[in-house]
Order: sequence, then C-alpha cells, then structure tokens
Amino acid sequence: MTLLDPGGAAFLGRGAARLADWLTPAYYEGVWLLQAAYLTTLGLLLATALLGIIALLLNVRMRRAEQDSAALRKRWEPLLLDVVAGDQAPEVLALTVQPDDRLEFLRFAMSFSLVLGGESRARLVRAAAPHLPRIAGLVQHREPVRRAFAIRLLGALGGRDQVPPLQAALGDSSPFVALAAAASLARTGAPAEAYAYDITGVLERFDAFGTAAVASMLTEHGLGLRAALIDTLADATRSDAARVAAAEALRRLGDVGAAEVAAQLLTSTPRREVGAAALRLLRAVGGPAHAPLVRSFVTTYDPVLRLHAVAALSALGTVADIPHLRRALDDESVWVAVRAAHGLRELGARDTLKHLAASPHPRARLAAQMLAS
Amino acid sequence: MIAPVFSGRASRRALLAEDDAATAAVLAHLLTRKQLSVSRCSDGQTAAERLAHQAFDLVLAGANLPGVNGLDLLRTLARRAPDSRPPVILLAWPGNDALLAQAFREGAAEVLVRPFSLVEVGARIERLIVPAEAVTS
Repeated sequence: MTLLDPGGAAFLGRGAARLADWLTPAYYEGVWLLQAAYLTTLGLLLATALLGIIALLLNVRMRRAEQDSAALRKRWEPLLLDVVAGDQAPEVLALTVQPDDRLEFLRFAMSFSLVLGGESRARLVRAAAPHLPRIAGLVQHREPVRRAFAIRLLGALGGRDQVPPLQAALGDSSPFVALAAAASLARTGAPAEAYAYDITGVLERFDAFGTAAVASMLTEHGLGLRAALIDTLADATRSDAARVAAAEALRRLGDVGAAEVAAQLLTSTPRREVGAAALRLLRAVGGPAHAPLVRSFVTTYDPVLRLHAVAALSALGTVADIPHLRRALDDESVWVAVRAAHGLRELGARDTLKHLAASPHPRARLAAQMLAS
Repeated sequence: MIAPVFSGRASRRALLAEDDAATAAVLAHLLTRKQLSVSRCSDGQTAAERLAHQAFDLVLAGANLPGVNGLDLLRTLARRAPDSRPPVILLAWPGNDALLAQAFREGAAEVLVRPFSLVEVGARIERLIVPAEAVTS
C-alpha cells in the first residue's frame, strides 16, 4: 500500500480524522489527566508562538534602529570630518542634530573624540556642547553600565567644565563607574594636579581591576599625577594593590624623582608585592647610587624579591656586579636563574656565559640559550 | 631621517590599512585633502596583497590590525630595495612603549599615537611625501 493508492488515501483520511479528534477538548472529557496534558501542551504551544513573535518583532526593531543609526552617521560623517579639519564651523554640525538623535550623535562623536587631540578635538567638543545636557539624566541612571557610559561621554566630549561631575562620580556606588570617571578626567584637558588626589584617594576601590589596567589609567593623566602617586606609594596605610599601581604608573611615566621613595620603601621591610614594585621602579628610574641597596635584596629569602632585585641590579649595576649575578644563576628558583642569565647578558658578561655554557654546570644550557638569543 | 619617496607616477597614492572606523575616516579625509588618492582596507592581509601588486607613496597601517599587523607589513617592506620602499606611518594606541621602540627598529618612518592632532599628522605626512607640484611638474 502506498500513500497514492485508494487504500493509502483512506489511511491518510483516518489519520487526519484521528488528529482532529485529538485536538478537540471534547475528546478528553471525563479523562482529567489527558485533559490537563492537553491544556498544558496547548498553553506551551501558544507561549512558544508568542515568544517567537516577540523575538521577531524585537529583531525587526533592532535592525531598523541599526539602519537608522547607519543612515544618521552617514549623513553626519562628511560634515564632522570637515569640522575637525577646520573647513566648517562646529556650530553648523551641531545644528544638523535633531533632539531625538542627540544620544546617537554623541555616541558617534565619541568614537572620533578618542582618536583626535589638539584643535581637532576642541572643534568636536564645541559641536557636541549643545547636546551634552541630554545625558545629564543618564549620569544618575540606576544601571551602572548606563552611568559609566554617560561618564565616558562626558569625558570624551566635555571640556574642563565637566571636571566637577566627573570628580563626583569617583564616589559612585559602583567601582566600575568610578574607574570610568577616573579615566575620563584625563580627557577633559584640565591639569591633572587639579584632581590628582581625588583619583589616588579612591585607588583601593579599583583593586579588583588589576594593576595593569589601573596603572594604564593613571599613566594617561601624565606627570600631573606625580606628587599624588608618590604619596600613595610612600603611605603604609594604603592597600598593597593601590601602592603597586602607583609604583607601576610612576615606572611607566619614567619619573626619576620616585627613585628615592622606592629606595626608602625598601629599607622599611615592605611586603612582597610592594617591595617587588619598588624594585621594578628602581630598575627603570634608579641610578648607580641605588645599586648597594638593590644588591642586598639579591640574596633575600623571598624568591619574588630576589627575582626583581636581580633584574634591577642588571640595569643599575656595573661589571663589579657580574659575580653577584653569576651566583644568582645558581639560585634554587629557576625564574631567578633565568633573570640572572639575562642580567649577565645585559652587563656584557659574555665570557662568563661562555664559560658556564661549556661547563657541566646544571644551568649550562640556560647560559648557552642566552648566548644564542 | 627618512627621505621623501618619489614614485614617478602622476598622482600620489597612499595605502591606509586601519580597522578603527573613526581613525580610518579621519586619516582618509586628511590624505584626500593633501591630494593623495587613498586605497583603504581594514585588515593586514588585504594591505599586504595591495602592497605586493601596487606602488604607493605612503603607507599608514594600524599596529594592531587583525591577522597581518602593522609590524608584519613593515617586515615585509624591509625586504625591498630602499628606493622602492614607501615610508610607513604606524598607528598605535597609547600605553605600549615597547611597540613604539620595535616599530622604529623595524623601519617605521613615524609612529602616530592616538589621540593625535590633524595639524600635526598633516605636517608629518608632508615631511614624508614629495609635494604634488614636484610630481606634476
């Protein structure tokens, strides 16, 4: 029997009739369990269909918003480029933005503001100025992500007049928003000295973000933050993470004046992370006068401090320090030994490395690799 | 100091390889104002292919391009003879001093760290290319 012969057609007809029965509530009358299953299935089917329709509508709405945004950006871009190049007045661009499109315009302008500096950025800031009040409400939004976005907009497109609201946002209940405010202050063009202690005063709030991220943010403010960073590094009441971030920022800024603070810190038995940060700082900004202090850490009990002391001595030491680094090559920590091998190369001790490489010394291979690299 | 390159063609051409849309738009606009015809792409692989088949008077390339990055492009160009090697301006984001040092070691003519002033970028570009009058005369 196939579905095409008369028997098959009859079979299909019976199947359709049975299905129609199953879909009829009267079919289950008196069998309460089947009735409940029927109603549940029907409810689930309806809910699925409803969710599908909602998802479809949201998708259409999102696509339409993207298309509208792309069209607006396409319209603004040529004029914006003329404005930042100085061929058009910023006010002309500002006038093309409709009240409903203000947030979209600020979002668009922000992507250019992060790229531009000097007069080009100043012209962009002038074009955005009439529309910035639009985001005043967003700064108070209940969602931290929205608040952080508004803060970033203020920093990217605001001038020095935005420093007070950004300073206030450093105390936001969300550390994420506070970090955005700290980073945004660097974009306002205000001298960092004006708000330096406001930022370093809340560094503990950023402990969870990691040293590299916080130090990057601090470095963007330039040397105007220098005094506040040195005070943070020297202050034993501050958290280790805050002091390490301050040391790392001073290292990246190449602040020679921070070397003395780092040296003093090392004489006061610092905790491991702070001591290591001070040694890294000394390697970058210290001088020969700091070599004896650094040398005393080459044999300290803590392998992390030994590692950074060996690295610092490699930069600050002289040929007279070659024997110290040679001994560090025997260190029980392989990391200290590797750093010592690098140090010997930095100090030009190729003969020492060659001698080691040719000997049955357990680290002979390391010396050979250092010579070959 | 890198000497300006003269490609011998009537119009001057620049290759702009950058994946950040705002940076690319701003620089393309500036290059066009400087009377350079601009070939734009947003990935290093395409940039490498265009460099292999076309002559350019100037290359601006993002240091962090996906796939083949700006430093890779520099290394590719370093294999060419100096007189057929266009000057390269590498585009970087702040906070990567090691990259800056490496870029100059690999032969970058300039490194532009964002945010940059268009006046400054314009002056740097002019330093690296032969003036339009010299090409057309």
